[in-house]
Amino acid sequence: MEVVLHPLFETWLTSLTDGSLAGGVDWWEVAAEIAALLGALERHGRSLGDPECHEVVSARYDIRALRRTPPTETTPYAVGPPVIRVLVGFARNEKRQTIAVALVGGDKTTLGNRWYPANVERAQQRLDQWCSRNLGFAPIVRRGGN
Amino acid sequence: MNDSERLEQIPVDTADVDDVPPGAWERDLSMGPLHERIRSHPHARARYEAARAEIERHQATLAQVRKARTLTQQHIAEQLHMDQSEVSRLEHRSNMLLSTLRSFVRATGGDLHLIATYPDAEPVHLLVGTEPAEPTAQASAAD
Repeated sequence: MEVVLHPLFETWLTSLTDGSLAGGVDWWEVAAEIAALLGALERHGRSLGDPECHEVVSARYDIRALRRTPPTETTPYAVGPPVIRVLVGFARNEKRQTIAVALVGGDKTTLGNRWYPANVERAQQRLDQWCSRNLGFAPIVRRGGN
Repeated sequence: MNDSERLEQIPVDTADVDDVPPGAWERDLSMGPLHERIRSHPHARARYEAARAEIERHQATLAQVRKARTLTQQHIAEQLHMDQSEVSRLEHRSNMLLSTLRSFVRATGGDLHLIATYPDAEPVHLLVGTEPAEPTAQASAAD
């Protein structure tokens, strides 16, 4: 499946590795983990499943949370951050071409599940905006959603 | 890890949709530049490859499991007494009986385990659709 980045997500992701952030965390590792999640979405599309991808049931659009939660096999020592979450949405045009749009990335270490409400709303606004800039595309609404 | 390091969390992205920087929509927003950037950085590339391998182990489809064992649909079909076309359909199904799934996995030489995970408790192996254990009386009959 074709995956594209919302410009705000792209700006944020680029900021991780432009050298402006302090040490203590290897930001290239974080960027690599995010790239690996998005790469998995390219290969598996909407059938990407647990544990890397969960549906966001509180969203009106079909928003999925891509997830890397330590410790993993590659980070068995990890006990803390980052708990990476990337919210993605999907858009479809009249030719039934479906594109995944990476919308919001973040770390829910501190907030836990309270990370979701504001960021899901932000993701939905960004998906609306992306569709308004890409003629013919409309957000895919969550099945069973309102 | 000390306190100052703990503060180094991923920066928060609270940008409003009106905050898109000038020219940002005209940039290459495909996955190309991201993959390129990760590939060009040896440490990031190694981490990407490791994460990718781990994710693929989690996301294996029936067809991938079969191909990883270099088995053909025909081989599975013979094991399960089905047509090759039925195996093909089975590999594309999103839902099936546990017994069907278990026999498919066994035909690839594996064993199926069901694990229920909980955020606040140890994982539990579920016994669903497994044959009840044979009485141990067989052990004495064997010698």
